Amino acid sequence: MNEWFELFIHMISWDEELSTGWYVQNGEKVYIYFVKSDLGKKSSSNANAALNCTPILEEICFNFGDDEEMDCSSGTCVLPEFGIECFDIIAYEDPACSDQYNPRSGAGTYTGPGGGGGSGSGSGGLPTLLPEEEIIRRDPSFQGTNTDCILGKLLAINGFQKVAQNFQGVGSEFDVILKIGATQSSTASGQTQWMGSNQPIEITFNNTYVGRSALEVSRTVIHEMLHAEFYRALNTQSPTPTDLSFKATFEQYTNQFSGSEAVHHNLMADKYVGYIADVLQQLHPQLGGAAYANYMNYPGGYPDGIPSGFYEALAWQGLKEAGVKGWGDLSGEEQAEINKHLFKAELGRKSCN
Amino acid sequence: MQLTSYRLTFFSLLLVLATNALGQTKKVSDNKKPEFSTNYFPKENSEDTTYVVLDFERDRLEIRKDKENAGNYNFDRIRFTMAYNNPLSPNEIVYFTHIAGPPFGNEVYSVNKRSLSRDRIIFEPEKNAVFWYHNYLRLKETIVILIDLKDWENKKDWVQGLGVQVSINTIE
Repeated sequence: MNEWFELFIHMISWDEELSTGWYVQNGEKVYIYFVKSDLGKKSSSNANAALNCTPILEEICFNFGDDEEMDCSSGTCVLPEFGIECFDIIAYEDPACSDQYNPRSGAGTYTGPGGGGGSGSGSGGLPTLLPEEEIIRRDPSFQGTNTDCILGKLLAINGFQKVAQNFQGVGSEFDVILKIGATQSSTASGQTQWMGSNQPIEITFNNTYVGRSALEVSRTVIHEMLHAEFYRALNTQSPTPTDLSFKATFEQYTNQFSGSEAVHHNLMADKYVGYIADVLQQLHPQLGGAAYANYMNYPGGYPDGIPSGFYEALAWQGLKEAGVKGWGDLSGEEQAEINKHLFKAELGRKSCN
Repeated sequence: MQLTSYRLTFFSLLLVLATNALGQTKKVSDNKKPEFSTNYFPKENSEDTTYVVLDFERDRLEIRKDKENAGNYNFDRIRFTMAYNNPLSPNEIVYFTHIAGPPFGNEVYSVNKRSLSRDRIIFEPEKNAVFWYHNYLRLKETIVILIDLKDWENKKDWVQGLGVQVSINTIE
C-alpha cells in the first residue's frame, strides 16, 4: 500500500503565540518554518548571506474561525475575515539554512563559557527539554515559590537550558542548589558560592528582593546561573574545548582585574550582556509581556513594541553597579538610555503566572 | 437662646476649618492625562501615602532635572541620587525620581505639614541605605511624597511635595 500524506505541526508558545512549525510529507520532514521576529531578522540576513539561502515560504495563514460560519451564499464558500490570521514566516528547504536562521539556535545562543553572546554555531533544531527536576536541585525554601515558577519557564528557553543542563543531577560533575534566604550582603539580590569540588554550588536569592517584577527576578536567576557556570567551567576535571577556551579568556581577565567578583562581572559585562538580553526577550511573553507592551504603548514610551535595548538594559543591572570597565566605556548618553529603560523594567508583572 | 445658637454655629465652622486643615495634602499638578489613562501602572496600595523628608543639600546627593516628551506634553523628570558612606558597599545607591509623564504620572502636592501623622513620615537623614533597600518594594506600591528639609523646618504650614518613585541599585 502506498499512501501519501502531508502534515503541518505548529508549535504554540505559553502565551498562545505561534512560533515554529514543521511541514511533513510521508513521515519525512520537508521543512521547518519560523515566525519572523525581531530576534530572527538578524539571523535571517546571516542565513541569506552566509549560505546563499532563499526562503521557500514567507507567509502562512490559518483559519481560526468556525467552519459553520463560512459564507456560501455566492456558491463559493468564503471564510469569515475575522477567522483568518496570517503570519510572516520564513522557511528554507536546506536544513543548514534553517539552523542558521533559528532564533533559538542562532544569534544570542549560549555557546558555552567564553563563547559569549555572539552568533554561535548553534545546536540546530529544537530544544531538547529535560524535566526540570533532573536539571537543577532546589532547596525546600525555593520549591513552589514564584522564583521556582520563573525558573521553570526559563528552562523552556533553549539558551538558558544549555547553561542549566551542565548541572543535570544524575551523573553531572557538579550540582547547583537554589535557595531563597538571607545573603551575606543584605543589599544583594542574589549570590553564588563555590563551596568546593565535592559540594554543590550554592545560589541564594535574597528573600527581600524576590518580590520584584518577574522580569527582574528572571535576570537575577540568569545572572547567578552564569556565575555558577563560570565556576563549573573553571573547576571541571574533564574540560571540553569550550571550557578550555573559557579558561584562557578567564585568565586574561584575572590579569586585568583583582578579585573573583570583579573578574566574573567584567567578563559577564563584556561577553554575556547579549546572551542575558536574548533569554529575557524570549521569556518576556510568558511573563505578561503583551500586557506590559500595552502599558508602554504611548509616544515617548515603546509605541513600536518593546525594543531589544530594553532587555539589554536589564542585563546591565547587577553589572553596572559592580563598577565594571564595560559600563565605564559606554558614553553618558548610552548610560542614561539604559537607566531610563531600567525605570520602566521595575513596573512589570510580579507574578510568574 | 439665639446667642447660643450663633455661638454653636461659629464653633462648628471653626471645627470644620480646623479639620480640613489637618487632613490636607492637595494635588497642585495635573500630570495624569486622560489620553494616557491606559498607560499608568496601578499601585497596589495607592491609598497609602508616605512622606519623606530629605535634605536637598545633603552630602553625596545629586539632583538632575530633565524634560521628557510624550505626545504634545513636556513632562518633568527630576532624579535625586543618594550615595552612602559605607566603604564595604560603595555601590549602595538609592534614587527618588519624580517622573511626571507616563507610565508613572507622579504629581506635585501642597502639603500641610501640621496635618501629618508622625508614623507616615520618614526622615531620610535618620536612615541608612539598608533601610531603603529593605523597604523600597513596599514603598513602590504607595504614594511617596518628597519634602525638602529646609521647607520642613521653616515656619510655613504649607510646603511643596513631589510625588516620587523609590528605586535602588540592584547588587548581584
